[in-house]
Amino acid sequence: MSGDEVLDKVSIAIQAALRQQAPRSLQREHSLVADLGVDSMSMALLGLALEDEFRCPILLNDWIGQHRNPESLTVGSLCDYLHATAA
Amino acid sequence: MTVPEGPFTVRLDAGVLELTLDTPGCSHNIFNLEAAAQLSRILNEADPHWVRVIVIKSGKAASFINGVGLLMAGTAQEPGDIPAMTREVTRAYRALRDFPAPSIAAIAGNCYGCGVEFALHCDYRLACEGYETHFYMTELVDYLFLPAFGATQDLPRLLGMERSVDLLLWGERWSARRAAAYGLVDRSFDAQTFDRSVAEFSRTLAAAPCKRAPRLRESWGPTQVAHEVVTHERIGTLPPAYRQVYRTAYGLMRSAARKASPSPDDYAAELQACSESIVRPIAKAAVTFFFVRQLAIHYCLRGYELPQITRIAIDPADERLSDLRRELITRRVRGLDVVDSSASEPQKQSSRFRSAPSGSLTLEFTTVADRGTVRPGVIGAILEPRERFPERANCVVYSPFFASATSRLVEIACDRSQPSLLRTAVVAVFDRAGYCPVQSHPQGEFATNLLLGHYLAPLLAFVAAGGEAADAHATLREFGFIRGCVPLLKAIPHGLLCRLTAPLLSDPTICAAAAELASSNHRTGVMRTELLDAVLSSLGVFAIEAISSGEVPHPALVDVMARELIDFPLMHGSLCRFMNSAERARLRARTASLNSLFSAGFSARAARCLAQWQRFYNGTADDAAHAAKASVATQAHVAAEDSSEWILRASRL
Repeated sequence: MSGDEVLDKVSIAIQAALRQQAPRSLQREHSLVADLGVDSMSMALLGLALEDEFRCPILLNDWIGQHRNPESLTVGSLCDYLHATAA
Repeated sequence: MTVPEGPFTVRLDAGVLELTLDTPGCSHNIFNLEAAAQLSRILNEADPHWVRVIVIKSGKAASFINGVGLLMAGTAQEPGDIPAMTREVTRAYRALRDFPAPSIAAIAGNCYGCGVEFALHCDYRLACEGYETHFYMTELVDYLFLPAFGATQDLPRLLGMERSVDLLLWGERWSARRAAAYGLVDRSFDAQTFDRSVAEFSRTLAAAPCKRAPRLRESWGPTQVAHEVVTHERIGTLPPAYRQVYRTAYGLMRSAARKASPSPDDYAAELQACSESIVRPIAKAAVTFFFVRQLAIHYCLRGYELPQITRIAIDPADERLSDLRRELITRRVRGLDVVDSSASEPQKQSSRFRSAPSGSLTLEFTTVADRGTVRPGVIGAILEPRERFPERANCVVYSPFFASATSRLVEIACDRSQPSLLRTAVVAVFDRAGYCPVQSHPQGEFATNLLLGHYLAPLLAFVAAGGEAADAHATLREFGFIRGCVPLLKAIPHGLLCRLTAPLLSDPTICAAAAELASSNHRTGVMRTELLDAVLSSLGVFAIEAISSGEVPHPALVDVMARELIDFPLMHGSLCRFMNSAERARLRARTASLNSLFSAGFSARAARCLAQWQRFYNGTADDAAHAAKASVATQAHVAAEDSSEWILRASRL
């Protein structure tokens, strides 16, 4: 799966999980917490939406644990993580 | 005043500044950085000459404040990260406490962890007596780290040591009435009159505003000394890895309980202890389970929300449903209306269900006869109206523990051909009523029973083979089990226990060992590695077979079952997370030792499962190909299951 395909799937999942909150065009630089308003509750919803796209159960704990603060949880970082572990 | 943007809505009327928190896009309120920054700005701009009282309310039906957000805990890499992460929230809490006008926390909806700490920063706390308003300190009990916003300091002063230890260390959940009785809140009001009562209280306070000074509820004396001994003894019974964080928490509370007023250094000491505990591996693993639990409930509900009114029809004459009926009535759960389903003729039933309010949902619960015998703990659920969902619209609710309250787990079992509305509605009902529902598609035995059998069988076999029962308990405790197996052994009927464990055991008669295991002293004994490996192998087989067969359709559901039913230790995250490829390889290398405890057939199954299964959740890239194969195999199995003969029917269809 290419990087663009992963970004497409992640974008679809974010739109599905966050509904009206997410901007239509997502950039790799978008911070899930600072820009998209994702919190610990909605992170699980995002995991489920990602599961629908990638067709395997997805937990985001390890990805979250790779970062130094919540603001650095970006769309691009999530794409890279899923490319390595789920794609 | 200018109202800053954020999740709070603001209303100022007759000197009462009403702030309503409504976290967007979420069913629960999270006091995140955005909320904290907005509250600080509001309080900074509010004119104390105009604002005589502040009232904090929730815009959510079931949540006052559920927390500050575990993303901070999840991303903290070292203790030094925490003070910077919590600074904004601490500033907002302090601004509320220091504002010249008194503040009221109007608590309708659950108040957990940092939500309790938020309320403690208010001068007055009023609570709604609905079932969805409970007080619960999550930090130690669920995440194995210390609070960060003053709970270890404020609770002992407000409640005394005994009550605050029960709340903070032992994880008691308090209803509004109990919170009022113990002094955590000032008053509790009936749900019907709560808003009016809060308004009256606010007006009265606005007429004569009065801040509250910190006070010490009790002085330190012989009672507190005796309680300290008991508490340290109890901490000593916890798994060794947990004891340090519990002792630290108790030490902070003990210090606070002996001082009349808190100092900044006291709060700083708590924050430092929090920072150190939050980055420990056991806390990181425990935080994992929060996300697993959320994933499980979202998987079951898929965004479904109950209608405003859901009628639960139960025949009051059916004694086998009396526990469930009594619980649902007693809990007075929002939107759940328990009605009488004793009318038996179709015409009466049609008439009764036609009288249901428009847009409402009716679920009828009956006991289920399975092969002609009504089994304990088995309840059928039928969705109405029957015109839309004819005879197959039914599923089965199972818990062997409705009466004993040993576990909140409730299995919602149904054939995949059943309408998803039925399954999700039943899950939603039990979720709202405070149970822990998990959906399943059993092909024979309920998944709950399979898990119980796989957990208890090696323990029984160990004791029956001459092993010390105390060693069995020590083995569980060393691994991190807190509750142990005794409550389960006492709650499960003997016949059921034998039925569940016999297929796994080399000697099917050995469930007599249950009595010895249940009655032994479990404070002595030593860890037995071979027994632990047997227990873990057995649990691994359950998880692998349940998921690969589709009987439990998601690993998060297996994890919740293991946590709620057998108390699988938080310090290992979750059962499926723990069963990573390295752990399975380790156990696989030791399957020969299982022969002494298990039947030859089960030992062979264990070896096969542990060798073949690759992963439960997304993991390393090397696992991806194997996971794809496993997924295809699961889908093929599920397709076969749909045409199987397994259909559980409600008895009165």
